[in-house]
Amino acid sequence: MLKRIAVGITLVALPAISWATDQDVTLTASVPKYCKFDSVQAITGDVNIGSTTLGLASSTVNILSAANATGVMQDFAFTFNATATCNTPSQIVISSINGGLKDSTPTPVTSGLFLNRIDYIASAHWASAPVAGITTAGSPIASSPPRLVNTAKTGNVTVDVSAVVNTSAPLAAGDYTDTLRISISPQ
Amino acid sequence: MKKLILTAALLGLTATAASAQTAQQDVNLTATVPKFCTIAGITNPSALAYDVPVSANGTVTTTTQTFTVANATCNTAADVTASSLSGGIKSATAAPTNFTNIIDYTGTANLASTGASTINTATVAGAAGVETGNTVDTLGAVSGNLVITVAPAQPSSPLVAGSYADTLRVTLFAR
Repeated sequence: MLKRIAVGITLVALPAISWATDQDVTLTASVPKYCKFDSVQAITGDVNIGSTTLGLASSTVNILSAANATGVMQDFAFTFNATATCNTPSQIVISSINGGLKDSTPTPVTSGLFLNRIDYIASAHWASAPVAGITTAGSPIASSPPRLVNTAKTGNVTVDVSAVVNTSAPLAAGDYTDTLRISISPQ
Repeated sequence: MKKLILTAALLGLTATAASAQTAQQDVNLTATVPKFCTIAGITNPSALAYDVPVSANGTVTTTTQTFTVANATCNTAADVTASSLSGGIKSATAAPTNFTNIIDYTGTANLASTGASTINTATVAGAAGVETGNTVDTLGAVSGNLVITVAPAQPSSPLVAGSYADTLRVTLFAR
């Protein structure tokens, strides 16, 4: 005699196996504010200017004839040209390290009146900012009044330089220097 | 057989805050003022002149003659030197024995009271050529009067007749 065996089969739903897993990676970045000079071009509008050496961080402009044969100061002028980029609103200021061209080892004066400084006017133009300007008068000029550009900008920077001609006395002999500094700062 | 792929890639991207960078450009300005000396604003002034009076019997006027030249300027320390180009006021006529053809003198030059360069043509016997006095250093730039004096001397021997000449030269040399 055959026995019948009943077998119960229980169906259980097993969780489905997932064959892909997502791992999220959050990406962030912070772009700093910056200003930079991109290039320096040849000077223009030069009057009584000799040799020039142009560089991205520093340039040198030599006045050809600072005085005539009897020491009388001569006029000079030039425009310095560069391009710059600021990726945020910025401001431009210019400054004079010496407050005019001076001789670091001035000639002593025994008698009479001699000039020992060559003054100049400088005005800077950056994008749409109002002109930033200085006039040297002997004391170092830490900063012109700052001038603001309200948007990120890439474009031309020009600085016009012209002599303040003083013929009241002859210039003492010597080598005269000053540094005109152009600073563009992100805001 | 399917592979069970678990990817777990961790990529960390961080950016630290950077300081705002200012752009700076230096323009160095240079100029050279040359040295010079000028008299009345020029480098080749006209010669001054003094005719030494000699009397009918050969007596030389020994009174000092003074010239004041205004606006002599050196824009650096300078050397001032007085020189006689002939070594005395001299005649081309040869002097016989017991005569002379030289009027000696003492010339001085003083720029802006910095000290006198002096030439005494009697220091060197005869008048064979250039005789140079001492050099005065102005010690700095000067501007003022150049005072020149000429004091002729009476020769110990009679002077032969004739025309006599010399040049007292004052040199301002910018060092």
